Amino acid sequence: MTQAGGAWAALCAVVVAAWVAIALGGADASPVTTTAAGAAAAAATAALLGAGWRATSLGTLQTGGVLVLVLPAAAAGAVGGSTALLALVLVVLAGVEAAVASTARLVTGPAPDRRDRRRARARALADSLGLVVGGGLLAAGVVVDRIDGGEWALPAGNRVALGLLLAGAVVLVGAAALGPPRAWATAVPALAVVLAVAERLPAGPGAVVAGGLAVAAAVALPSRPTVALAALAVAAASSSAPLGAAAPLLGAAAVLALPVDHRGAALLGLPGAAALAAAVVPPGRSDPAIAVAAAAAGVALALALRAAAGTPDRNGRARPSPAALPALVLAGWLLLAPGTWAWAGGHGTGAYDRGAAVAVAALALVAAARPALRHTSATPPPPAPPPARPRPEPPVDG
Amino acid sequence: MPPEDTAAPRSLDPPPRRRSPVLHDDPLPLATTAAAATVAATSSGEAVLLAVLLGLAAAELGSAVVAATAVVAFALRWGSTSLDAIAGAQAVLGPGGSVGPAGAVAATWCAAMALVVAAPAGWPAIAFGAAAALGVAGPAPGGPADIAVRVGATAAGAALALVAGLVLPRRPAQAVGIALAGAALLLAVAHP
Repeated sequence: MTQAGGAWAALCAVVVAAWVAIALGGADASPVTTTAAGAAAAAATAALLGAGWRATSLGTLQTGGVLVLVLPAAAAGAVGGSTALLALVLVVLAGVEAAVASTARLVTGPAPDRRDRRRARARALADSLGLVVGGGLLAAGVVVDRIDGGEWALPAGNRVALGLLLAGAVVLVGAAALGPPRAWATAVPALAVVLAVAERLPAGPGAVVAGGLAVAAAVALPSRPTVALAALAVAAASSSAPLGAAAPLLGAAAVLALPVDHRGAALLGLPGAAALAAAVVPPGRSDPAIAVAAAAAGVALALALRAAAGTPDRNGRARPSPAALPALVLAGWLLLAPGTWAWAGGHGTGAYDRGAAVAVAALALVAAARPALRHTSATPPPPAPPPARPRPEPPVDG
Repeated sequence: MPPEDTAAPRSLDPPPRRRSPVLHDDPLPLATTAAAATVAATSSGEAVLLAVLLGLAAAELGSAVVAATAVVAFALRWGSTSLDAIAGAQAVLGPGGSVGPAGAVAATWCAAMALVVAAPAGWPAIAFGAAAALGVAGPAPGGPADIAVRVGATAAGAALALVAGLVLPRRPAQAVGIALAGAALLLAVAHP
């Protein structure tokens, strides 16, 4: 690890720890007043930034340092819904970051020939395009809402602003899921904006469209479950109130699936799906709720079909990278005890928590007993075949 | 060349014992089988979690689809995804396979038969049988009678599923299981 890399890791660790402390303590962080959910989102943003941003030089370290201080605060503000200005700052900074990072990569990389240089520039621009477009749309939405007499608050009252905000946030989520790792951190505030805006959408059409997008994403992008999970979260948020509790859990799964970077990360949606089912199964369910449940079933079936077909993982890797370790810990926490994620809507998942505890206990028992079972039923290695005897050479006549 | 020169030397070691197929290679089916069977037999947990565990234990798409559909049918029949609630309702009202409207009882039996018929071969069948027993006769333990009913149903379900997994051809059995599970789902929706 380089000096810049070490300093970057230390800085991110401090920022993440500070936001986690705020989330657990429920305190306000001056000058940002936020909720526990906002602080947790800020911690997630900082963690994703630490995992995705590559601080390889002084310039990238300085840019990342500014981002890791401002971006989590922007995410906290966006989750709180108190202001859209922080989201605007976030997007502008993301655009600057993309431009700086692209330039830095071209300058510091090995000197390619003209064709390679052009190709690298095109790739860098494509990487930055989602951030720039999404940020622009989001900024336009905030400005339009303000001109219309808005209060810099989410969700917007103006329909045009609502559409611009939604489109920008969706583009940002897509850029985070499909783009380079340095874009991961924008997924948290973008999802916060999407979920806040989705509550203003008409319940029926919103749930159907978002659910359809979720199924399409599961079919087209099975190795990147973030898109499908995020769309399901939007569908849940845009439907009736009981399903809204599942939206934050599905959103958290979508965010954590980014650094895990494995198609198995789709299992992180299990707590959200359980919350969804718990809200849909009792009698008296509404049509949007049924549409969301059908979409969730479609997503699960599509992912299972692709898994059964043996679709290779995105990077051809069987295991996530070591840099994803903090995210894996958080993912395990979400998968096993979503009831403790009260700030993320984990209320009412007590039955799931008990079942997960029982299942883990059974898994642990099997893991502990397996070596003994293998020992008692071990098969001795098959006897080695005898060495091939040299065939006698035929007598040579003459 | 004389034949005794080319023959492999006979090993004096005892012949190797046959191992269970789940004890080597991939540990996931055995672990998820244990987890699913425990969750189903103790009625602790949640229907979606049980469905996913059964699917992972089966490691076959057809059996996984049957498991998910049948477990959802159980949940719809009782109006709750909590396995505690399903077992508690049976402890109060009676076993799911014998109380309630005819449509609901039929849904229960269809789902249970689907789980048994489509059970995979080997140890994962036990988990499928335990899940079937949970729906048909899975009261929470309120007394010796409840415990006897529950244990007997679980043992019978596991035995039937084990036999079905070994005897029935896979693809036709899974097709029948999917049909039965679909029927169970429709009946459970129509007769909650």
